[in-house]
Amino acid sequence: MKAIMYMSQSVDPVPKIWLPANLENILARARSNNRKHGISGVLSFKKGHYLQIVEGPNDEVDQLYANIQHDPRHKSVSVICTIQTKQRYLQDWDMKLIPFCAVDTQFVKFMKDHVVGKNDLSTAQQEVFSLFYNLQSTQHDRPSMLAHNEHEYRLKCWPNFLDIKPTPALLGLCALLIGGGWLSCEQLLADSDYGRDKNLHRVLDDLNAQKLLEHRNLQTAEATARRQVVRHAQTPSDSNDPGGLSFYQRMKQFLGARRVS
Amino acid sequence: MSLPDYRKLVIIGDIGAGKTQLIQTLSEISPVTTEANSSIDIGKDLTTVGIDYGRISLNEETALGLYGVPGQERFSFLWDMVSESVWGLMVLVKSTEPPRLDYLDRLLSHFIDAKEKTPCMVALTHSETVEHSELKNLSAQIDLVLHERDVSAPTLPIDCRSEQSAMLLLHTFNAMNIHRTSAT
Repeated sequence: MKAIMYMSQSVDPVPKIWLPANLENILARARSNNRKHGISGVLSFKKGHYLQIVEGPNDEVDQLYANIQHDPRHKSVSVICTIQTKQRYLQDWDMKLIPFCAVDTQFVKFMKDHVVGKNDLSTAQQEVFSLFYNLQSTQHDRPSMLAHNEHEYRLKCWPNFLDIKPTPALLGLCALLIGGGWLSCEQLLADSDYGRDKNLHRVLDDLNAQKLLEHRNLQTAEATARRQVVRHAQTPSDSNDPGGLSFYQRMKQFLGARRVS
Repeated sequence: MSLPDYRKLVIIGDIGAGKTQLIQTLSEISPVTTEANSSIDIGKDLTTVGIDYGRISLNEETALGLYGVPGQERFSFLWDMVSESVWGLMVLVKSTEPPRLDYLDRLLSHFIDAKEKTPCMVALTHSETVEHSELKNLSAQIDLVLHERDVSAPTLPIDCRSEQSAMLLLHTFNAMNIHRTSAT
């Protein structure tokens, strides 16, 4: 059994539309064909470029790759790596679409085992590849333990709410972490609905385990400046509100009265 | 609407995605709906042909207007009418139908002001009867479009009939607006 990772460029950029035309049909057809030929794979797309891994029986993978090289929807096809493997990395996926390569466990494992540290990509390949994955970062490593109150945090992307229950507290926390730069535990406790250190730390640990969270050592001066920005949003944007509450605060009161849980 | 602090939640989606139902669930007033007999089979007789309107008053001078807008491109003149000063953009995607990614891309390009970081969410509706793996495929395709547009938005399943589900959306939009320092 073998696996090939390759990159290519889309040839059908539709004006003002950033995705390849009929991507949904391309995916559906790939899934159906791969199922027939015992091939599993992943596909990502960024700024006009595809990144794909296909794995399966040697002959089937070779034939598929030959087809791709002659597929008029692709150009500049280039191999990142070809490996022989005894077990599948992408079990259960005829063709999995991955929007964020850096947070996909199977993709990251493949990278760690076969690409990271090999340094045999050309400069042009590295440039395109960096759209999908940062080879210089430590994102392929296991997430390190959080020193909760000594770090500040931000989210790389929203969690997949098909696997995690979307509670108001979690959605609110993610909205804070994704929109405004780095935030400390102190700030998150003040602005989120997690009232206790223990609860917040548990959720941060969960997000970290899913590789969704970035952290760095607390930088107090910057944090103070950002805190003032966030607080600005929580005070009236103009003086028309006689109650002295912002839209944000009034909406929060309204939702509190409706007891969203 | 001339309230001193008035914001707009734009709810947009294809035929039968659940716009009218979501506004009925959220609104404190009887929604003003503009429905007509559907020309295609959508599992119900009526479909939105104009803007559905509802409202949530937070006090005498503060309110959130709810605008349900048809997603069909022939109604894009209606998109222009509501695309200013948006507090949140709620895109409803019917889970039982193949995704139309080009269409989602066009909606985002019309409504999302990258500079203003317009808060956006994508809700998967009618998901009760769809297999989990299919929902994951759909969600991944939507996330890909959002990512290409540099739009940071959660994708989550909702039940437009459920008050709890609808309030969850408001809660999230409110949290997303905490970062917007300028008045919307």
